[in-house]
Amino acid sequence: MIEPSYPHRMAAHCESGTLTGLFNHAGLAISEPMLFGIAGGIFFGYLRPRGLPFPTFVVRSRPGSLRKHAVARLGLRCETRTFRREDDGMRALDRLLDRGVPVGAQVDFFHMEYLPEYERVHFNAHFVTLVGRSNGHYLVSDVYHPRIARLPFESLRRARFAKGEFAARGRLFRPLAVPPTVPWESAIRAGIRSAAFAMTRLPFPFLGVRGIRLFARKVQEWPRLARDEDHLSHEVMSIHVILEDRGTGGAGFRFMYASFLQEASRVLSDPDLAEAARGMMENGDRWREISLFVARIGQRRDLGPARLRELGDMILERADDEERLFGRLLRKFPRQGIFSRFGVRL
Amino acid sequence: MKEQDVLSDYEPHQLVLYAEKRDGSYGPVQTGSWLVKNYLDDYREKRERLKASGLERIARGEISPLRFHLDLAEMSPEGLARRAGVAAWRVRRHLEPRAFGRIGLPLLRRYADALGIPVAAFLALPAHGAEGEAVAFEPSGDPIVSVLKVRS
Repeated sequence: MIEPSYPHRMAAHCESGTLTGLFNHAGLAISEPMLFGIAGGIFFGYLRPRGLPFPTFVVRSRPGSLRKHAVARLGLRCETRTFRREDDGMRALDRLLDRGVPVGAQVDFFHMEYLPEYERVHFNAHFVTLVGRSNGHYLVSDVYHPRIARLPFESLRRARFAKGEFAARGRLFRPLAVPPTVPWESAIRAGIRSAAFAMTRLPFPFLGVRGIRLFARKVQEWPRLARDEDHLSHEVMSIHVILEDRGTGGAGFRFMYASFLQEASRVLSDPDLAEAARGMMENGDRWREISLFVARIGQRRDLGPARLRELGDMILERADDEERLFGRLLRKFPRQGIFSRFGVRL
Repeated sequence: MKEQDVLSDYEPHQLVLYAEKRDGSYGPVQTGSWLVKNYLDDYREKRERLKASGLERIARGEISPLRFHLDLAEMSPEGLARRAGVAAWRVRRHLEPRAFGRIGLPLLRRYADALGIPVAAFLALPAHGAEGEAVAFEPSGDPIVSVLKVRS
């Protein structure tokens, strides 16, 4: 058995937390909000996926995109592999662990047996770091768990090779090399720009701030989609779970993003970003009010049209504020392309 | 939000939130889950009622056990179809008790694996005794056979 020397730390979000841990271990000093911000992780989308029985929303970019964007913008070298055959995937993992190399893995959240049963849902894009193995068990550093946990071989195999939406296909990743100088400034600019663009300019009615507005409208139609009062109450309360408890750092990543903007203002010595951080924090406070509101009305079954309209209005206000906040950030970091050379701002 | 406003004292479920510290900087805070601390009982009650009504409907022959477990897992027929590698129309058909009765063991195993439950859970209804003992199937080493456990 190999004793893990991996420094386990809890973090707000599984993907950014796992990456932060692995990058720190590889010798790059970076905080979780910084990584999240550079990768442009903040987002909003109101979705009706075929794999779920009820509409839902997301508050972050697509799973896997944090890794791709962070690696590209920071100039790291990283190895990512997927596997067609389960045995190959497990053997490749064992070889790395026996050399003492910590490995990031994408897994189905449902099979993380050390977490409480009410939390475990089928979701294929959970990320953990595997740090060792001992007779039939793997040692898992999961940022949602206070300690390094043990997971049976069979559970990890099922978790890595579950099929369906976002199927992991056994995906493993590890950083190979950290560049001597990291282009912090350009990475931060690119991260803020991509997030602000995604929030304000995407031409789809269900993405970005338009998605927030759609959510505000559609949430008032939820009673028609629900089986009964219990079901409606469950779905309304799950707004809180998505915003606060499912690994967001609170307020649907808005708190973490405020922390990123504050750190970015120090790195770029830019007081405007500190101002934006304060605005984002206030915006997050309002999101958290929505979370507390849905938990209260959900438990009381106080879900009449008037209450849901009140909820819709609270959500609409978030759309207005975020349009202003991200619009300002987008104007601050205009595209560095041929248009800006002629003084044209997009 | 200020640090003291997000703190919640609930040891069994810890998570990290970002908040404003006393010196005005923003950073991570480890805390208990406010929702789980205050509303876990409500969640469990809703689930128990969902189970009870589902079992009644199975007993009356209105729905198949597959529909029951699908609702419990909060998955759609299409979602299960992709996870189990079965056509969506077949999954939808198997939500009816009559068609469910014609499923073979290999397919039933695929459904069970995709839902993360033992095969036996499809074939027997868990009941709650008057004394509150809970009956549950748990996996054994064999893929088909499971162990029936009673906890009081």
